[in-house]
Amino acid sequence: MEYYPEKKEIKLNRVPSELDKFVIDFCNLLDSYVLVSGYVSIIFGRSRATEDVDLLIPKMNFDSFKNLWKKIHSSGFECLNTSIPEDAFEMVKEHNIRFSRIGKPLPNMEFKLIEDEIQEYSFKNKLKVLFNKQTLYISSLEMQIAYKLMLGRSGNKKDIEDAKHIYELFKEKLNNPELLKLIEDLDVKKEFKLIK
Amino acid sequence: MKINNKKIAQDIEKDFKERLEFIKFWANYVKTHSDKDWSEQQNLLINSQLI
Repeated sequence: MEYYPEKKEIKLNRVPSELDKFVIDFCNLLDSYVLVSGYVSIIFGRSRATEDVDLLIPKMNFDSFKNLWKKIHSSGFECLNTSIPEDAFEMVKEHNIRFSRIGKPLPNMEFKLIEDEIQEYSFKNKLKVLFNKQTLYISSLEMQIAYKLMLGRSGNKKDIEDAKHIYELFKEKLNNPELLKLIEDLDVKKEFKLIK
Repeated sequence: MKINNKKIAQDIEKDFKERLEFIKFWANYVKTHSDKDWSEQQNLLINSQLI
């Protein structure tokens, strides 16, 4: 594995898991997205699995959503929430919607529209992961660490552990001023001390 | 049954610290071994949950 911070690129030669294949197949249908949360740790070796993968997409109008819907549904995937694109479009404005391979609810992609500053930051500062001739886009590592620590504040130790894994793996190449700024902004100094 | 809640809380905290040490150990393993090596091990865990 090689991380090139100046190119915002990570080269990875891992053996793809069934989860990776699912994520690659789905993300290849999208023009613009960023993968966030648990999967970002898992793709880099975190020793746990997940039943869902969090994905952020820029806001779009209904025509664009419907075109994407058709593409997804003609590529072996289905929406677990509804079979009606109009309903799905209304739902996704309120909460996440999930897509999986047809007839196989696990794993599934948790599809969210970008709404807040944290999500916007993740999208604008995304990294390219090149593996097995495929490309995936993930959240910046610094935001991934800070955000997972923020989630861990509610007591979910799995999130602290995810942050720890990313921190230990990449600490020599992290943008430390940026990381510390995010730690400050997300108010997770106490949690950061746990993983340093 | 007498439950020592204070000791349970202390044990949970100790277990968590030990888990964080293991995560450091495993991240170091990922850094120092080939991607093929560590991902084959990780895939046993992931694929067993999905297949």
